[in-house]
Amino acid sequence: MLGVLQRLPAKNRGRLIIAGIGLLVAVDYTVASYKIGLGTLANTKAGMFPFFAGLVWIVISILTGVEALNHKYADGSIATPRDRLRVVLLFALAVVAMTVLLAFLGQYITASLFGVVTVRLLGEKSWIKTFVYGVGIGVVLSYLFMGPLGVILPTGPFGW
Amino acid sequence: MHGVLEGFQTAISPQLLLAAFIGCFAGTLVGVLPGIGSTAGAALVVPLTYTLSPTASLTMIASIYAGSMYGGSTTSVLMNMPGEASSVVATIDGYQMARKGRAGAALSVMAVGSFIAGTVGLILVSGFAPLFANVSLKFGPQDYFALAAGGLVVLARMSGGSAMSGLFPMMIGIALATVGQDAISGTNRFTFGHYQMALGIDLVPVAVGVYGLSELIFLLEDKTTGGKVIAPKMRELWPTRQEWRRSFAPWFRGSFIGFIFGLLPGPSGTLSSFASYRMERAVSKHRDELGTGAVEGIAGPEAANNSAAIGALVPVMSLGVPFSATLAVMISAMIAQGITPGPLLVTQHPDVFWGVVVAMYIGNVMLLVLNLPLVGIWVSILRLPQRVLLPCIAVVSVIGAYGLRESYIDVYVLLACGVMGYVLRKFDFSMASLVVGLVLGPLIEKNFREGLTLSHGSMSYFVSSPFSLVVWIVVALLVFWKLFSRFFRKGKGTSIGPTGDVERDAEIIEAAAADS
Repeated sequence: MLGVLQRLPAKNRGRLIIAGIGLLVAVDYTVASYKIGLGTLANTKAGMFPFFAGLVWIVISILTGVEALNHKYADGSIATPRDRLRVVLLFALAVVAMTVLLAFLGQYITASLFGVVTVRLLGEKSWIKTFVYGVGIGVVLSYLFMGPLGVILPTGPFGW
Repeated sequence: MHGVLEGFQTAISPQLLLAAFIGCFAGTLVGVLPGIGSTAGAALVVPLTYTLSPTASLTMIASIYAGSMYGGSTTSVLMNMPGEASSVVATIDGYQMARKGRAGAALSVMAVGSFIAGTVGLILVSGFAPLFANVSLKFGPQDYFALAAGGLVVLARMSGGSAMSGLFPMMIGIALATVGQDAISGTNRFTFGHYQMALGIDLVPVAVGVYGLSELIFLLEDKTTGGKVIAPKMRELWPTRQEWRRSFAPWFRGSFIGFIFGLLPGPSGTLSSFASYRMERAVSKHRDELGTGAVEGIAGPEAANNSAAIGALVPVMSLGVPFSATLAVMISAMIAQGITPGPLLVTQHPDVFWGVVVAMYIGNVMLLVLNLPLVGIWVSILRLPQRVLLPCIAVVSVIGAYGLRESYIDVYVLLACGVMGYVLRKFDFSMASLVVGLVLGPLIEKNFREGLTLSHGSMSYFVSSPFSLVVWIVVALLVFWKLFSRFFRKGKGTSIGPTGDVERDAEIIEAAAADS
């Protein structure tokens, strides 16, 4: 099995793994649908449609795996370029941190912190410009949505 | 005709004109900027439209759709970078025109083409939409099931790439649509004990995640982002007499081709622009110049993709079935406004129906009047550094997801969909069928269960009407013919058509142009 995987091009290998994960989720989804209750074909309950959808998903996951073993996909790089990996990971981490901190620090502070961190991360050399751009992004966008556009967003410990 | 006049009466109100203006501006911005795209852009606007009237809200979303296509083509011409898949064709002759100092003329030809396509589309919609609505009044659950499920399968199959590239995400979309309270029995499904999950998974965080957030990571990975921008001067905006004359026939040909594609399931904007380009290669007097900066190569395809956007309104408004991710967002906004799209919309809410159709037309006029003088602004935006642009997009995405229902679950859905979208797109899966599957899932389920109840559990009911039978035969032919031909040929196809991969499409078209 491992030998087959190693011989496959990277894109096929990735799609095979995705098909495998899809199959596991589809099976779990189908079993959960069955537990919700199917009813009869003439008198369906809430689980009936997801159950059928789950069965189709299982078949499509298997076909996706079969296709990954046989198909020649368009060329394309899979791996993130080594010199960009750090930036990509740190940016992704900053987005996750923003969503977590939002509940504790509120919109203005969180968006400004995120702005400062990512502006610096993406290559701004000057700290003054970093703070001006970062805080500017956070404050202006938050005000635009919370003020004129009337969107309700989380407020932090200071009430804003 | 009466409906069109009524639509003009509705649309020419300060609120709707303002909505069309903001929509066109925001749409062009979204199309010009890398990283958002029309679907995520329209999805981000949905929460902001709740305070507007239904017609104004839909007008804004329709204008975003039109504006984003124009914006996407602007980057094709000025940077050789298509903002949308439907703008790929514009890179070939549009960028060549820009290199010859005719960028302004190319943008004008595109804008006038959009206006002409809008006019042709409006005339055709006024004929087709009531016809569709009248026919669909006779539809039963089996017909709606065939239309929604069959249309979704065709969209998934035609979205590009291999057979499973659209079908696999389609099933994820349908599965996500079943999360939350069952509309018929009130039973909670797949909520994991979170009461907020009972409301279901909304389209906005999913669309923004799989299109917007994942695109940010792709932009970060790509060192080549931010190519040279060819800035046109104001005096170059006016095409020459010869350019006007050569654009006229392609505009009309493209408009008709686009409208027909718009009525069908599949990525109609992309398909119609490719079809129009092929048409020009076949019939144009200047076909030898195509690929070297011929005005026909931009006039026809641009008119086609705009006309397709208007044609696609027909199945959305008269049947309630969207065949593209952006139109799925529009359906979602309609439902949020308490409007049920479908055949009764034309009779029960004619003001909404005709108001939106005419507003889309007015949006095209606004694109013509506003966007050409604003070309300098778009060029400046194209020159914005990534370090300012990407944080802005990320912050707006999170605000859009949270602001929808003031729920952190939507923010976590956004993150999860961002990761899922990145991984699936990395391996060439198409996201359109996931988004449309999420929107069509409830409609498919409703008609599936209604059909089973009406037929006392007989599955043969779903092919019992001539319409449903024909739809399923067509779906089977499209799906299995491609599936088997792929397996037999081991994926060595070289036909001209959208593959779903923008770069690959561009290579194919360029190769074809070079051949000619």
